[in-house]
Amino acid sequence: MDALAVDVFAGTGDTWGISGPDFLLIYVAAAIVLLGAALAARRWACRGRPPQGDLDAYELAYLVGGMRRAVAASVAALRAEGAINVARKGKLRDVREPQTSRTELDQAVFAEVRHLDRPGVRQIGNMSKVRAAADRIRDGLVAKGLLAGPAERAQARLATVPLLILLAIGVVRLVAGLQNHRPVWFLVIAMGVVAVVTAVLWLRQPGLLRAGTAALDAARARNAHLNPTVRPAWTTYGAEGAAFGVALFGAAALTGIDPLFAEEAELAKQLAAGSGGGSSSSGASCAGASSCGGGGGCGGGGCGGGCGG
Amino acid sequence: MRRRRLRWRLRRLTGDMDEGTRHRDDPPPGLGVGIGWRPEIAGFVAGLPGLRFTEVIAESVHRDHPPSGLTALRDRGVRIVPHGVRLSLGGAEPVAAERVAHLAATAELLRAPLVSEHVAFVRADGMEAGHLLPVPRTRAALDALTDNIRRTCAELPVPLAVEPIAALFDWPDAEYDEADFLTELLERTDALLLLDIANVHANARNRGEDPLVLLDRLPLERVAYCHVAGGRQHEGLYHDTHTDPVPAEVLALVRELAARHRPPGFLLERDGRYPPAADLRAELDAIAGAAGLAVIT
Repeated sequence: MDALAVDVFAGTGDTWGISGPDFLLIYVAAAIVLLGAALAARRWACRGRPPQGDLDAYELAYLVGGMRRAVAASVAALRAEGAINVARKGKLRDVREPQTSRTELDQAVFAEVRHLDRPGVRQIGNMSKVRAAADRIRDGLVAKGLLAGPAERAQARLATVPLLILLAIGVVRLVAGLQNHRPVWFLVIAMGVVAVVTAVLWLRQPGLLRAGTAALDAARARNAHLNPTVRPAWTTYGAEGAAFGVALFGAAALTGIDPLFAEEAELAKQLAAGSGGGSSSSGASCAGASSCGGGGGCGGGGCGGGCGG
Repeated sequence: MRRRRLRWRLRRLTGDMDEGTRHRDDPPPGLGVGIGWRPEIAGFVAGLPGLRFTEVIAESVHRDHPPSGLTALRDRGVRIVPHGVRLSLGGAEPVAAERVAHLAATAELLRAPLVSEHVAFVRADGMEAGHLLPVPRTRAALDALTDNIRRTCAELPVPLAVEPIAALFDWPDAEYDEADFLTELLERTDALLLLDIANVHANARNRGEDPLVLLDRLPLERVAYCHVAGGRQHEGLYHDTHTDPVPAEVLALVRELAARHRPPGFLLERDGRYPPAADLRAELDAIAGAAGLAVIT
């Protein structure tokens, strides 16, 4: 008799009184809406602030490729003004005190070239003074609203919370459905997709903010005369030109400045090793991830175009 | 373009009325000291605060997408002179219409006050020489040159200045000397003169002549502007390299010329082995000093 009653009232066997197909439809629709909202929120979090005034060469280098790029730009500037040279393959040596390249990063790089016994470029990047100088550049960029800091990263993660809640609802329904001996496979598949998307959004932290990308584009336009394709007169542009050239246009600029030095100092290798990926500082890895990582970094596609190297 | 040419001809006509006898193009006033625009030093040129005048190789400018650095200078009010190198005005055959058209279009695009070309030929019988060759100073060559300059001027929206080239050799059977040849050419046409001071120095030195004699015999009021460039002595001959510093003798000639009749502009030509910015600025200052013109650095 009881069994018959269940059969008669078709809906009473459904978990929470909603049929499986109906719930699935609502679940997928909710997932799409919440994903759109998460991406929009993330995009909003990644907007940044337009900078006041022009950025210096090392700030631009850091935006493009983190600490590695900034160190490479500094090494190029020091070489251009004759403060350092290569001792032998992959090893640098100091020549004389720098005259024009005198930022904190230049001083730190030069000091390490002088103190260490013929260091390689990579070794210089591992020294604490150089790291400290690079970290200060990063902090400045975060403060200027060009690079994501803790606030932007938290906002971006907050945007995925509704998707996490949806996932939790799915889990509860799954348990209830299993207890009711209802088929759950479609729900499991839908939840799997939501879980993967949520995980990607959660793990992909924003790096370069949209204002940072815009600042880079503006700097490339302003320094078009340093683009290696026009074969710039590096001697005329001096150490400052070398720093901007390597910052914005990478290894090709360095090869133009001093092909032998570029080859011997193995700087191209350093630049090609990935934009800032090797650095442990979070800013650098973020910059790398969002500028070259395929657009996931800032959601809606405000990124990209950052792979200057 | 047509309307512009008409306006310009009209202006010339009214000028005629005002001054009665003049029927030619006047040199553009007040160009000052400039430096040739090259992609390699575009950033340096753009960074010169007092720059009012530059020159670009006409054939290097693409009509549909000119270099942004160049259009930025134009929009800043810097006067840009397209400098042709491939027209072959001195050739026996008529100038190629499409080359003249390109020169005219470049002048329009850059809002140029004038254009310039060489008194030279770069091809004959369809063979490209690859560089500028001197024209023999004969009556026949003068006739061909006159025709080509008239043809070119007729199609240009702005005046044309012609530049005699440095020659390491002279053709035999010359019927004119250089001063007479140029004076006659300027008499016959509307063209202005682009005088290369480094060439004057080079030719005089290599022929053992006094460069001041040539300066004294040229119609200096027809000079639109002057080229100044560096060179070096090699195996007894002076080579106008454009890749070396401007020698003191050339600066002395600039001073002599300015004392006789100061042309509206002096342009430094540097084509390679670019020195540090400070050296280039010092060279521009030295030219300004010698010419008695305002410093642009």
